Amino acid sequence: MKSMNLANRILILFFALILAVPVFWVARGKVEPQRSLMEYRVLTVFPPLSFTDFRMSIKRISQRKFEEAGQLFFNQFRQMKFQNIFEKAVNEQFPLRSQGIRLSKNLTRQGIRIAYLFTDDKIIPADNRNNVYEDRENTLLLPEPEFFRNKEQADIDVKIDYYDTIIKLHQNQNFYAFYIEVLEDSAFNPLNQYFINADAGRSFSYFLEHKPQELRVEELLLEKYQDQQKYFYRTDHHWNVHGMLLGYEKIYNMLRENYPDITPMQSHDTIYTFPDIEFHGRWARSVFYKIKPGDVFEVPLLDLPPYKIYDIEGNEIDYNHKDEYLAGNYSRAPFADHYIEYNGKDVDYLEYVFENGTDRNLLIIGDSFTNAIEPLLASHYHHTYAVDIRHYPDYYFSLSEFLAAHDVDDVLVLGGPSVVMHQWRWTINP
Amino acid sequence: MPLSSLHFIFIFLPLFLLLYYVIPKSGWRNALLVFGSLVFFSWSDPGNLPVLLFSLLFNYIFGRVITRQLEAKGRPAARPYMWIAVIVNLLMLVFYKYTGFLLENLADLINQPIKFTSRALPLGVSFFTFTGISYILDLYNSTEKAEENILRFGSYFAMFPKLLQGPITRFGQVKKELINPRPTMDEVMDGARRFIGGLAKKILLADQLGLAIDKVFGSKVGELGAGVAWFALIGYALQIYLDFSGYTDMAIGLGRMLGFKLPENFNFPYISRSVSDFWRRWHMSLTSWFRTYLFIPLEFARKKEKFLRQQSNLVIVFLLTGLWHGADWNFIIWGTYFGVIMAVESGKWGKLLKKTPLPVQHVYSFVLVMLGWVFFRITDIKVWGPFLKSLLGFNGWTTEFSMRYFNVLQFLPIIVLGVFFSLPFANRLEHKVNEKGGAVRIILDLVYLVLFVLSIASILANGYSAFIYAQF
Repeated sequence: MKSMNLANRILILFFALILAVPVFWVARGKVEPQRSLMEYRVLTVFPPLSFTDFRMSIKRISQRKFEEAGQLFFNQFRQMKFQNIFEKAVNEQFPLRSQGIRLSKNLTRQGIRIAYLFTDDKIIPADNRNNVYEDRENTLLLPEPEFFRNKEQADIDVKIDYYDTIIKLHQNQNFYAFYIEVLEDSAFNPLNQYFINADAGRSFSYFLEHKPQELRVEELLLEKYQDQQKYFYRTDHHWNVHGMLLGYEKIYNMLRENYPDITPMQSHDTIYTFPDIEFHGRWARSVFYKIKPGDVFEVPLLDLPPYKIYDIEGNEIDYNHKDEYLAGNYSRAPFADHYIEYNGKDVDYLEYVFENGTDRNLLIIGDSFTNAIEPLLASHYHHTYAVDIRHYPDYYFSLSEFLAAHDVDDVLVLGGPSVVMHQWRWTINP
Repeated sequence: MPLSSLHFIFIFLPLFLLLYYVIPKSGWRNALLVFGSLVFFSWSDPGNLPVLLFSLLFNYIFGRVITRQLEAKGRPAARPYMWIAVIVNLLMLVFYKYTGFLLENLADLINQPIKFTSRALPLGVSFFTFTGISYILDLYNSTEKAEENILRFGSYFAMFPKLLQGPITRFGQVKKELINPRPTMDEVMDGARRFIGGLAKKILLADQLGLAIDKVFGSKVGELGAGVAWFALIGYALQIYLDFSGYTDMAIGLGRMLGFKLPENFNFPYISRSVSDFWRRWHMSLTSWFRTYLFIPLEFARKKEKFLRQQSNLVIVFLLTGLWHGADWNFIIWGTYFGVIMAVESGKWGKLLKKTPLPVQHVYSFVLVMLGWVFFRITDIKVWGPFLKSLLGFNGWTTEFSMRYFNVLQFLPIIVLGVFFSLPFANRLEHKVNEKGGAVRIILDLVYLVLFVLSIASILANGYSAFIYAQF
């Protein structure tokens, strides 16, 4: 390299940048795997390399023990395991990663806004990779509609058959379903007009028309677009406290039909708003978009009788972080999933035990929607078993086996369209 | 190791350049270049490292043998070695790339299943075997003499910037630089600019376009409206150009940083005035390879034939160009399609075309090239007809698979930028800036830095997609 003029000095920064990153990693040293609240997963760290293993494998090669040498050190490269983890770690341990991601997403968003500048469309994509849209008039994020075609109809038929079999097989139990209509499946999704096969409430109508008579169904339906904002978060797919409490009332009334001596409804008039939480839920997180203002995070202040929660192994656990939240101990990280953190994350199985004088037991088959409502419903039963089939090995859950091992009076399938109508990962094996 | 990956840009490249610039002796620099290139290759394809090593050593040894035979006994003595070397190179390519295709078609022909365990295609095999053949033939034709220093030969053969996707470089194009690869500061900085420009083209434009294009081509293409169909086709034309020329810019830029001047591969192909002109501007190193090592020898070998000699040679060459791109019928038809057009253009039609107004020539070329991309992009031949019907508006301007369904409108700014960078405007601007220098140069370099940061941010947000030409 012979000379350097003034202009070239600017581009020295390029070389400084590409060199600074590995220097940063070396200077920082080894890091433990860290959970990213933003992405809701553990970030990959650089895989370790053992010099001792390398030395030993070289020794094995000199002894012509090639297979052992491979197992000790070289196979991880040959099978690309090392490279794959390393490449992931380079991305996930990159300095200023989240700022970089946000910069890129913001740039994309500006590009989209420019593209839609000349249209009168108020609902535009919030990102170019996820099917999340931004309603600029109502400052909310919303998902693309789900479809209702022959494929989906056939899927619902299968689920209906399962219900039919289950109800005929287990006549000692009462079967209920509580359907939470989400915007994807609603007739009031403003994007329906662009999607010819949009569900628009048709799948639930079909389900109601063909379901077994013995299955008692109650629902939380959107009756207008504004209901989305009333009962759900504007940045997350879950129901908010108002949707959940309305759901509680409806479910309570439904259960009472076959459970006349059910304890009175829990008082749920007091709602607490966390003053310093601006909640940006899953939709916001998936597009890294802190829509302004974010959602308020409200929770009901309940005075439930004492209860215990057990996991699938029968160990008593402290399942959620409600006490910590109410004591002011919660994450202030952007995009922290307060719904899950407060109510508890999705697990395969939970058992609530209330000492409330009743010997009646409830089985709830549900999803993350149920996490918020479980304690309220469980307060009316002695044992309440909450099952999330998604977390069972191979999504296999046998109702017969479960009922043989547990004394259950009421079975409640509770959740969105996937849980109630589709079989996908929520197949309730009779 | 993809050139647009974070581990290449932030680990391999800085460490490699640091060592490369620190090492004072050219021999050691060549050794580092060979070693680095092997690490670069084996990072993503460790199982096929022996294939690359064999190819490198084989061509080195046969190159030396051929030159020795030429010097001692002349061409007849060297000829068998040349043929062995060319055939072995071709066999390697056929074995890895075409065996499955050949057996599959044979099975169809004899109506009997043939058991075959497919092997992973070694990365860059189409490129490094063609490099090997060009080296051997240049020696045999006495255009060059064999490189005796294996490190220099290894640097030429396996040089990592061009190893996986070209440009296919002839030995004579870099042999002087191999003696003492030492770039000036200006060359290093020029290389950095070229590298960043290519990275931005790939990450900020091609990959973004790919999101929409893949979605459209992944749908029922026979049920599209003409609007979406044309969007997808033009988008793909831009995507493949920005992707491949982006890679080439990165490769040439890296070459400059290492002190090598790799050949250009693109010269704004979408401003071509005919299909023949397009192929003088598109993947120039491949076209040049086929012209030098196949078309000219064919012309020479068939010089006594008068009837349609050049035309039939063009069809043969482009059929093989298509086959080089992939072991599938769509590539063969794609190549033949261009061969036939070029054969027609080599006659009266070509002369007539030159007399038509310039816009007519551009439209003619554009339409035929676009049609070619249909054959290239859609591997299932049965789908060509329905897609062409969509293009021609048989389903109307829009269908249920609307612009909104694919959200194509959001990619409009990318399309506009893509068109801008497919035309020579930016290049002219860069030349003017270089002439003016001073503050304007500094401002443009700041723009390059911003583009680099944005590209990295985009990789962090979206990961990187494989280069389209990496599959060939």
